[in-house]
Amino acid sequence: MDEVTTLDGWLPGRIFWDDADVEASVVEWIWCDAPRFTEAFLDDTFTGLMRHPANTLFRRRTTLAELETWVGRSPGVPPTGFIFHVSRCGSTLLAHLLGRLDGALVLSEPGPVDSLIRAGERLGRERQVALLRAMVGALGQARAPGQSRLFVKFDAWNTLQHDLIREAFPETPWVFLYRDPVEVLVSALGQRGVHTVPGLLPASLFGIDAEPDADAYAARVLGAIYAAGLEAHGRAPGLLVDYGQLPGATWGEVAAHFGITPTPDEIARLTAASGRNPKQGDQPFTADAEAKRRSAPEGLRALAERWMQPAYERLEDARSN
Amino acid sequence: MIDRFRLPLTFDAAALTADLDALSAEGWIPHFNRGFYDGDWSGLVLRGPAQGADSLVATAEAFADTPLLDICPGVRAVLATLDCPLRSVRLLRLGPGGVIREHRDYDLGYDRGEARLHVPVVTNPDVSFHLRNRRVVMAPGDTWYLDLSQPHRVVNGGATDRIHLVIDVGVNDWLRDRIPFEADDPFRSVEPEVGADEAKANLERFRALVAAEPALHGDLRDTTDRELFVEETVRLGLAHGLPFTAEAVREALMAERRRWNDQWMK
Repeated sequence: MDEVTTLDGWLPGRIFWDDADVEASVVEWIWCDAPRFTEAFLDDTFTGLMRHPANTLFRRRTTLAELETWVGRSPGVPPTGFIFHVSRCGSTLLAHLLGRLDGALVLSEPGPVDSLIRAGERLGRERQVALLRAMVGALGQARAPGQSRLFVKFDAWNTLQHDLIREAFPETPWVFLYRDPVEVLVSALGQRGVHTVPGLLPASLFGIDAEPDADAYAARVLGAIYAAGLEAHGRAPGLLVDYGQLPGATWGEVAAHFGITPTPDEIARLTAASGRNPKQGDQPFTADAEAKRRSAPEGLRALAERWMQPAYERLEDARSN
Repeated sequence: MIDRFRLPLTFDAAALTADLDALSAEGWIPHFNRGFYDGDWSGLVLRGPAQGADSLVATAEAFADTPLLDICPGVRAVLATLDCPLRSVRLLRLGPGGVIREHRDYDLGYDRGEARLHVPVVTNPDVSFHLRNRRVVMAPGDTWYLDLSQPHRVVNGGATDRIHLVIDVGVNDWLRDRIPFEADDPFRSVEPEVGADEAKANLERFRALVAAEPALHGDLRDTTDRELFVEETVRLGLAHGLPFTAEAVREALMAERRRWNDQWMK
C-alpha cells in the first residue's frame, strides 16, 4: 500500500480475483462520505455511489495484503451481531430496524464479504478467515462520531458457510431468521433472488447435483439454507427467530441476544420505523402470511413440504425448547 | 460566458440581520425540490408570483411584493439599489448539516433574459457552495451573480444557519453594465491538442496522481454531473502538466464502468 495516503473514507467495493496468483487479486475501493448505509442493501449504496463519476475513474486499488494492513491500522467497529436468514423472511426489516439503534451501522448483504466467503477454493482456510475479518473491518469503519454498533446481515446462502464465519468471529452473537416455507417459496418464486435462479450460484453450494425443474431447484436451495441454519444452531447455538416474532423481537429477544438494552427512545423509534417496509418505500409493512399461503398453488405447496418443511419443523421445535 | 461574478455592491449585513429578527415569528416554507436536499432548506417569499403562492416557486408572468417585505427595511434598501426589473425576492435558509445535492435550475438563464443574485445575510466558514465544481465563497452583504443553470451544490457543514437573500431580476443595460455576462470563463480550459495514445497515457498518469493525492481526488469526487466531471478532469490534468482530451476521459469512464459491472457474481 502506498504509505502516503490512508484509506479513510474509502470502501472496498469489489475484489477482482486473479486466478493465477490469488495474492495478486485487486481490491478496488470507492469513496463514500455517508455517515450510515440507509439503503436496503449495501449493493444499492454502492450503486448510488457509482453515480459519482469519480468512483468510476478514480477508484483506489490495493492488494488483499494491503487491505489487511489497512484494517490492522484502523480496525473498525467490532461486530455486535450477525443476521443469518432464509431470505423473504423479514431480514431486511430486521436489519433496517437494528440500523435505527443509536450508534448503529448495518452492512446488509455486503457483496465483497460474500465474494470472500465464496472464494474458498482460491484461498487457504486460514487466509480466508483472516481476510474475512479484514473485509468486515474495512466495511465496518466508524463513519460518524459515536458509531459503536456494527450489524452484518449476510446473504441467505452464506448460512451454508456459517462455520467459516464463526471461525473468523467466534465471539459475535448471531440470529437465524426464517419463516413458514410456503410463504418463503411463494415470495421466492414471485420475484426470484440470485440464489433461487438455477445457474447463478453453483448448485454444488447447496448439495444439488442436477435439478431440471426451476421451482424445485428454488425449493431445494431454500431447504438447504433452513437445514444449514439448523445445523449451525446445533454446533454453536444462536438465536432462532421466526418471521411472526417481528418486528417486536428486534428490540426484544434479538437486542438482548446481541447484548443490547434498548432505551425507551430507541424502542419508540424502532416501533415507529417498523410500520414501513424498507424494500418498498412508502408501502406499509404488513404480515402478509395469510395472503401468501392462500395464493400458493398445490404443486408449490408440495415442493415446500418436501424440501423445506422438515428442517423448518425441527427449527420450530428447537425454538420452542 | 462567466458563471459567477461579485458585483461592486455591498450592503449593510446588520440591517439585513435585523430584518431576519423581525421575521423570526414567520413560518419558513420547505423548498419544493424535495428530491434535491437533506435537512432544512426553506424560505420566505418577500416578492413572489402575483397570483399569490404558498410555495417558494420563483417562476411566474407577473410578480408582486408580499406583506413580509413591509417589515424588512434592510431588504428594501437592497432592492432600491437595483435599477433592473425585479422578479422574485426570497430569503432561503439552509440549516446546519443541510445538503443540497448537485443539480441545475434549467428555468434560469441569461439567455432567457433573467439573472439570479445572491446576497448572503448570515453564513459560516463551513458552508461550501460549489458552482461548476468550483467553490464560491460569499460573505454577508456581498452581491453575487450566479449562473445556476449550471450544476451547483451546497453543504452547510457548520452549526449555524446559512441564509441568503435571493433576488431574481430581468437583465437590462444597467445590469449588463455591472456584470460582464459574456466574458470568457477563466476556468473553462481549451481542450489540449494531443494524440489519442499520448492522451491515454497521460490520463493513466493523472489517475495515479489522483490516487496519491487526496486533495486532488477531493476536487473531483463530489460532482455527479458526467459532462462537468469530464471537463474538470481535463482541466485538472492540464493544470498538472498532463494533457488529455475529453474523449479519452469518456472512453476510460465507459471501459471502467463495464469492467466494474462485468462478472459481478465472480
